[in-house]
Amino acid sequence: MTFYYKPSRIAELTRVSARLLLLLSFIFSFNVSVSTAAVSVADGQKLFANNCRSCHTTPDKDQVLVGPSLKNIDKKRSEAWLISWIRNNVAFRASGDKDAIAIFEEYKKASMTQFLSFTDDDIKSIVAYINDASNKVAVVASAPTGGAAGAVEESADSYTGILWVVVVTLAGLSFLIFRINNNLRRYAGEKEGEEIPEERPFFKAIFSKGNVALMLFMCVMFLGYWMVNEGQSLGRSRNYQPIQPVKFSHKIHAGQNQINCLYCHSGAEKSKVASIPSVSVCMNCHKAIKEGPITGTAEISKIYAAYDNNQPIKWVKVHNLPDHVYFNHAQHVKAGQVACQTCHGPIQEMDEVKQFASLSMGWCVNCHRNTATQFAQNKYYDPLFSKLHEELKTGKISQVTEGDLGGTECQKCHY
Amino acid sequence: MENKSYWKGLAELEETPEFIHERDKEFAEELPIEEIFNSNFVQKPRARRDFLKMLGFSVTAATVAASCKIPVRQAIPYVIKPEEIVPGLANYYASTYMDGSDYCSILVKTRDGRPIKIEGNSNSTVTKGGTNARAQASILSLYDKARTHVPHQDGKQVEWSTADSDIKSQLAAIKTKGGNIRILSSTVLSPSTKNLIADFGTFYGNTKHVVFEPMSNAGMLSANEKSFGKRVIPGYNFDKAKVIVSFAADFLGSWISPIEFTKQYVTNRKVSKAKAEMSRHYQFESNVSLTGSNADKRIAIKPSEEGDAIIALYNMVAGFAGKAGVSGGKVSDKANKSLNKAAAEMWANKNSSLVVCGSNDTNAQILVNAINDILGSYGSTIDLDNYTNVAQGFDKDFSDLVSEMEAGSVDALIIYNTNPVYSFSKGKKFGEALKKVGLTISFNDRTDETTSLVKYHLPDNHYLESWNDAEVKLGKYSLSQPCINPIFNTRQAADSLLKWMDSADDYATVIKKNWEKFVFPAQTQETSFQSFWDNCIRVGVFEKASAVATTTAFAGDVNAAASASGGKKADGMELVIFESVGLGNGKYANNPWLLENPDPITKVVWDTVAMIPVPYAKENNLVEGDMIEVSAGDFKMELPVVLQPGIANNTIAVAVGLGREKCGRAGDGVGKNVYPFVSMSGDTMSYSNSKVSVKPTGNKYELAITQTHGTFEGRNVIQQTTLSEYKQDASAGNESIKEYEEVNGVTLYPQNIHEYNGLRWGMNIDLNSCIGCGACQVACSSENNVPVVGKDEVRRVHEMHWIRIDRYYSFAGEKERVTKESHSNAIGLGNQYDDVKDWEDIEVVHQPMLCQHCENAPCENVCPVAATNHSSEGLNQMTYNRCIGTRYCANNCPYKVRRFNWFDYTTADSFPWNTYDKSEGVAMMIDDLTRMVLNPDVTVRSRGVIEKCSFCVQKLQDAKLNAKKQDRALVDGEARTACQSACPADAIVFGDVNNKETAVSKTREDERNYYVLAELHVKPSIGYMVKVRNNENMA
Repeated sequence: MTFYYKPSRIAELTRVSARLLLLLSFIFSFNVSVSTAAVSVADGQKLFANNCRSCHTTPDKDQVLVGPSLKNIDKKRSEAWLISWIRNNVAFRASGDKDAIAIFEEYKKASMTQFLSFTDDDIKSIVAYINDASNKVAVVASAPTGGAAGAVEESADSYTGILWVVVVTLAGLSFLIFRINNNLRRYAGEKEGEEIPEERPFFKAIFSKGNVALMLFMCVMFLGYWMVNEGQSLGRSRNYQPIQPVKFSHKIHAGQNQINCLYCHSGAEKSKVASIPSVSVCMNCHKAIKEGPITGTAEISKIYAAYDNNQPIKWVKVHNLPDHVYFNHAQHVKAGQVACQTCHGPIQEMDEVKQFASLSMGWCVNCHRNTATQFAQNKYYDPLFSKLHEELKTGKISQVTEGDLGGTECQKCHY
Repeated sequence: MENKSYWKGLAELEETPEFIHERDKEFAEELPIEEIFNSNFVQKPRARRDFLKMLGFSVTAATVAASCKIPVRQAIPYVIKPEEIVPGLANYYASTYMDGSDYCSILVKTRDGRPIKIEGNSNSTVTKGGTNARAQASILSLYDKARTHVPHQDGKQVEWSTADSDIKSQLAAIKTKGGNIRILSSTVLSPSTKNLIADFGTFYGNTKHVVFEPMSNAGMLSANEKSFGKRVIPGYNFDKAKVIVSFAADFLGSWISPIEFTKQYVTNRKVSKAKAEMSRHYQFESNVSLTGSNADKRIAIKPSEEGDAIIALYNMVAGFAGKAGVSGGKVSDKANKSLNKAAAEMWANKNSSLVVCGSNDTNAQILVNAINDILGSYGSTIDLDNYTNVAQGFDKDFSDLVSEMEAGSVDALIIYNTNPVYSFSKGKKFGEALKKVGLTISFNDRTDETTSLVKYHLPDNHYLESWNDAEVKLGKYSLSQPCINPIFNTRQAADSLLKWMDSADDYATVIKKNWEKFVFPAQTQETSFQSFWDNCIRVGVFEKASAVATTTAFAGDVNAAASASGGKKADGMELVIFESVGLGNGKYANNPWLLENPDPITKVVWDTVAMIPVPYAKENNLVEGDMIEVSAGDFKMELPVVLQPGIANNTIAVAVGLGREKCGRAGDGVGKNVYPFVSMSGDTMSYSNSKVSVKPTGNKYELAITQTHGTFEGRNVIQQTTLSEYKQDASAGNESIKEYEEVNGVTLYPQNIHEYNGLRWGMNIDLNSCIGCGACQVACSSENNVPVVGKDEVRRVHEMHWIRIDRYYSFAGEKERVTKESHSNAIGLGNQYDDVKDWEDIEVVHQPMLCQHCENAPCENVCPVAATNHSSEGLNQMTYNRCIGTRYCANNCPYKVRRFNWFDYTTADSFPWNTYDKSEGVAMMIDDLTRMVLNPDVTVRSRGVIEKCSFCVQKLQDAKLNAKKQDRALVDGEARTACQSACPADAIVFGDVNNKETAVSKTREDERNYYVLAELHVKPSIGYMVKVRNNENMA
């Protein structure tokens, strides 16, 4: 029944600068990869993340997960071979291809999923991505896509640290300059033989009546401000970072290994809750992966224990809303195409999950006011809001926000 | 235009001083503000210091409370998640609600593994998606802690295996000596259970299955056996009947198959310009039943007159057919006139008329059969070939069983879902007789009056925990499937029987095998049984084509029947016992939703009352709540009275269903058990008594009646017309709407006009279809976590229902509205009604009343914190977390639909001692297990906030989201409110009124559409359809 906070300003600062760099590199990478119409690295990356990633490591590594590493696979196999294999490896093996059978034998006859719905272009995109990624040395852990792509929004709060450092430094500097200036003036005056009143001791000057009154006033103001702020945030738990029963790292799973968020949180597109994956979902991969890079077998064995004893893992809920708030993941992820990171922050960089947003009503409403909805894209809106459709067409408005559609009304979330 | 006065109760009609005093107030009770300010505490000289002390204490307390750690919440996923379950998404499972003669094909809404709501299953051609209050409320009984948790032997806990081996050895011993085994049950609808009981009989020998129904229709079974050689209850087609004559058969409320009949009945009650036709419905009855309240013409007759009335009708119809009449049939002039009209109309509509009779007298039923036979009803409105399987109780079998038991010739008695110690008139005698039976076993779900007297109590599962099948009508099969694992250590009764027969199969397998053997061959679409079975479970029903109707010659002896049933007219006070529409026969007396669901006629909750005629009350100076002593034979009972307009003079009516002693915390000791008034008349039970004496005792009792809470102060909220007027002018009865439209076209506040760019929700309620049954009220409570408050709180006008059904009376003879002025000049006994006042001849209108979601809502602009405001979709939204409880909104609501949480009724607060648990009924609702029934999508309101109908906004949001998820437009009818889904009469239409193509938009174009209190210019979102009565020339 305790809060576990791990506040570390320096860590945060470095993280902020790292994130800035990351953002820059992200923008860069966008500029570089010009996509062709049918075959694109970006499409390939998406397809890879959604379909291949649960069994194959990212192509920049040599690690073997359930299936082999695909690093430089385009150099090892012909494109035609890869197309046949990826689309329907069973038929391909049945056709008697020796390489195919050999791979199958090598991986203990664990059959690969068939992807009958993939077009040739899809597969070529994946291969293009693999080619692209294999040649990149640096690992750029970009955000895995949840419902949609979206850059991580930086919260203004991250900069307040820097601001404070600047303010304190400047204040110190000005005080120093003031003292120096004052002393210099005194010496100059003394030299010129002016009558200099004895300097009041520093201590006395500080605790003069006027100063004490001012300080008291400021104290009261500050305390009042602090109390109101703290009072408001009572029950809110930003940065809440509880210790979980299993040291599960989103950084490893979502960040380094690029597993799609929806692979585990499969409810996010369908249901009110994103849902925490059942142990059986963990077992899909961890049947094969028995050792982790940091904790070795210690944490993964907890999954096996849960699975074998039929005992669920009791995760600690990080994001809690009061009973009078209705929040629906599907509404945001599927209908609104909002990226997971918008509310959950850079989850792919968190070893331990912490609450990123304040989850206050003001925070919700701000987003509802400012974010463009899927107004033009979702056919649900077609027969409705003819006025807004018209305005959008004529260019009178550039976007339709949730607020325009009544999304800031009480009974959209409170019922 | 009919312009008469409608009143909810006598106090309103007569404008008693108390009524006038109360009606201006939204909240009946004054807050004790004066008391507090004049109290010692405030007047004390040191009050200032005390105030500071208290201020200091509360600030400290708040600080301490605020610095508490936030509790750690856990999220526990499955180990292996079942494929079909997505946490947070509801799954619907098709199933069947059945309990004795109650039947409803349903869908069970389950969230994360727990059932939370019952919906009707529209795949069934029997119930067609309709439900009733009991089916809706049955979900609450699943979480009833009063259900027995473990098997018991002699009142002590026992292991299932021990009980099984004990019972098996005893049964084996009985078999060896050739002893008698009896299985006593309520009606069994399940063909598999029936088979099983038969197999059990073969296995142990000398076994007989006796069916006992406390509200019996055995008279009909015998009559049909004597008339047609078939001991069945036929199927009825009210939809094919143009003229319906009912002798006290409450076919919309409690008779045979009310949901089915309601669905059929309303098809001929809905009128439109395209179909300006309605059925004609005569109701001859003693008390005011739900069906009677919907009839075009209600004729009050005393119970003892019923036989003669039927004979009279027979003679008239026989006269038309040129047949010889029977002797007898002398009835009052009034009844005679109406009978004549009815007979002539039925004869004119031969083959499409129907006579039904609720009597349990075989002879009366034979005469009714004879009338129907002459009218050609068999094969059209009555179907002997497609008979129903409900109401199979055979009184003679049961009375024989009691004699056998008393004689000591029964060696084993197995009781399954019936409770005769409570519901048999000689319950005590049955209890005594039980002692003479060697082996007594009960499968009942709780330690009720009967079960507490047996040796082995092996509790059955709740139906939502069980596999089962049902054949409600011939060839109309349906399946029950478990929607949750058994909550307690219970076992399905059928599985117990199987265990004792050394069967290797469990009951689920038995059902499957039976279906493979008997049902599967009846169809040709599916070739593999497995896919047939899977489909049946998914759909919930399998229905064979109806059997072709054959003609069966009537072979009853009408003369004998007439002489046995006629000439009984008595002069004194008479008593009639009837089944409560909501509570039924008493099985669900521990269900707080049903206990707090007002009776459709008296609007009494949580009690048993004697409905007495107004003239009798005036003679004896009785007012509501006075106690009378009713005695019949050697049984007497003191009951509070309700003055009931419409009841036959010198007749008292009392409903069964309460007065349980051992049913659980909510129902124990609530009301009185009136089953002992039932008597045995020949081979059947009789539910009326013409030899009762009544005397006022002078005692007073405070009843909890919801009807007079919240009045419209004489404003005209009911619009009514007749069919012939409607045919001439479709806007008949609705003339005022044009006048209001004109006035309301002007506004001083143009900036306050709401714009609805997207959706605009609206509702329409057809007063012609609404029968007033109350299913919507329970459905609303279930969907929206509406709290139960208990009897005491209802007495203080604190009930919480979001939807209520206002029941209005008017004098049938009255044509012109009595103005307010003349009215108030004549305070007293309604003198101004002398010319029209016939207390037996009243008309009833039911009007569902819920938040009208006004465009110019009076509640919105008085809220100091804007906790209630208007949405862009036309909803008047109530935000609980913003409400500070000033109650200004409730005071300002002209419809009186806002409810205040005086206490924490459902433990929404985190401080348990805030919880209101004065009433036992509420105590059940704050139980952790019972709280499982709460809808997780709806906030549980805490103390001190106002709440009201939200148009089921959670369901609207869900429908919208589903459309968005599937990238498509919203379809009309997709977003449904709970009241709309539950309604067996399809009286409620709901949808987007911005779209001119929707069903609800079309109702707005209809001339019958009107708005209640349109003159106030609040612009409600709910339209009502003018009530049309087909009541001309019915004498």
